[in-house]
Amino acid sequence: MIVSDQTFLTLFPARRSGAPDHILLQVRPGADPVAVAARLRGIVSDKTLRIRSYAEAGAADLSYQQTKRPTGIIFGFGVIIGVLVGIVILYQVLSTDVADHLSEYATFKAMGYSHRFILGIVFEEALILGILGFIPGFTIATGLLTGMAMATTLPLAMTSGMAVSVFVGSIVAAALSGAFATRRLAAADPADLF
Amino acid sequence: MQTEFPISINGLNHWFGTAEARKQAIYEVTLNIRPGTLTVMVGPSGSGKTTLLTLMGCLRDVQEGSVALLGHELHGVKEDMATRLRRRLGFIFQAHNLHGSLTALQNVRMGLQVHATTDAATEARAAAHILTLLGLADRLDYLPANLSGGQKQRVAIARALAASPAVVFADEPTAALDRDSAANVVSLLKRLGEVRGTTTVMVTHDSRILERADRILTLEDGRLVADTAPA
Repeated sequence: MIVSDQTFLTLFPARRSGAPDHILLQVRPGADPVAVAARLRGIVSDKTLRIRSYAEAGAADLSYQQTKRPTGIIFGFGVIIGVLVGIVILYQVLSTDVADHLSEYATFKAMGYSHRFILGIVFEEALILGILGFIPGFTIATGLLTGMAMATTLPLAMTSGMAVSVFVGSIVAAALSGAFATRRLAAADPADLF
Repeated sequence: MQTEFPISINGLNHWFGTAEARKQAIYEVTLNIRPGTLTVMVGPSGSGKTTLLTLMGCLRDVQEGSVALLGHELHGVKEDMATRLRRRLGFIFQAHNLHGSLTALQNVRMGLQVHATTDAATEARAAAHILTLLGLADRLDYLPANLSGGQKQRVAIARALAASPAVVFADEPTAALDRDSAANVVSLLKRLGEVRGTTTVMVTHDSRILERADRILTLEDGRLVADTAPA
C-alpha cells in the first residue's frame, strides 16, 4: 500500500513528522563499517536504536521481506509448489518413457546388463531433462529480473549464488523424479520378451 | 551336476498363476544338450516350448527340479549370478527388440559393451564384421525404423552372436527372413557350433531349419514327448 505522508501519520499516530526512520552514517575511507557499528552499539545507550552496517541492514530487510511479509511467504510457497509440480511433471515424463521402452530395458536385462546400469540410464535421462529445463528457466528468470530492475529501479538481478542454488535444486528434483520413475523398471521382465 | 553338458535339466516342473488359477506348464522334463549342437524345439502353441526356453536361458526362476546352465545350477540362483550367466548367452527374439534410437552398428555394439573387455574401435570393427557376415554391410548406420523386418531380425541375430556366446537361445529367428537369409543364418549357427562349440537351442516351425538340426525335441502339453535326430 502506498500512502501520502499525511495519511501515514494519521494511520500511525505514534509516529511524528520529521522524525527519521533511518540515519545514514558515512564512515571514513578505509574504516570497517561492521567494526564502527559494533563500537557505536557499545557507546549508544538507547537500545531501541538498531545500529547496523549497510550490508547487515540489507540482509535483515531481505530476511524480513522473505519470511515475515505475506508476499515473501506466498513466494516461498510458490517456490515449494513449483518444485513439487516440476518433480511430478518430470516423473510423468520419465515414467511414460520407461513404460514406452520397457521391452528395450528387458532386452538389456536379458543381455546381462546389471540393474545398476539400467537405473543409470533412467537417472541420466532425468539429469539431462533437469539441465535442459534449467536453461530456459534461467534465461527467462534473468530476463524478467532485468526487466523488473529497469522498470522499478530496484536492485533486482540474477546472482551467481541464486543461479547455482536453483541449478542444484533442479538437479536434486530431477534425481528424485528419476528415483520414483525407476520403480517402473520392475515391470521389465526379460522372460516376457519371448 | 553334469558339467560336460552346457544345459542339463532334471525333473523340471513349472507352474503359472497362484491358488485356483495355478496351472502346470512343464511336467517332469529331463534332458541334456550336448555342446556345439543345434537343438530345435517344436510343438503346438501352448505346449511349453517358450517356457522351457526361458527357464534354460536363466530368464525365469526355476520352481521345481534342476536346470544346470554352463555348470551353474539355476534353481535358487542369485540375481547377480544370473546377470553374469546371461552375458555368456545370446538371445534372438522373434520381435527382434532392437533399440530404436540406436543404429544397427550401435545395437550390435551393445551386445559387446556388456563385457567391457575391448576398446570402442575394436567393438565397432567386430560389430561391423558380424553385420557384414549377415549381409548388412551397407546398413550399418541405419536406424531400425529404416530397416525391413528381415534386416531388423538379422541385426538382432548379429547382436546375439557378436560376443561369441556359449549358448544361443532363439525363438523363431528365421520367421521374418527370406529363404537365402534363413539358410545363411542357420549355416552361421552351425558353423559357430563346429568352430567355437556354440550350442544353439531354438524354437521354430521352419522346415528349412528342422532338416539341418542335430536334434528335435517335441513338446505337447508341457511334456517332452519325442526326442529325435533328423535322418
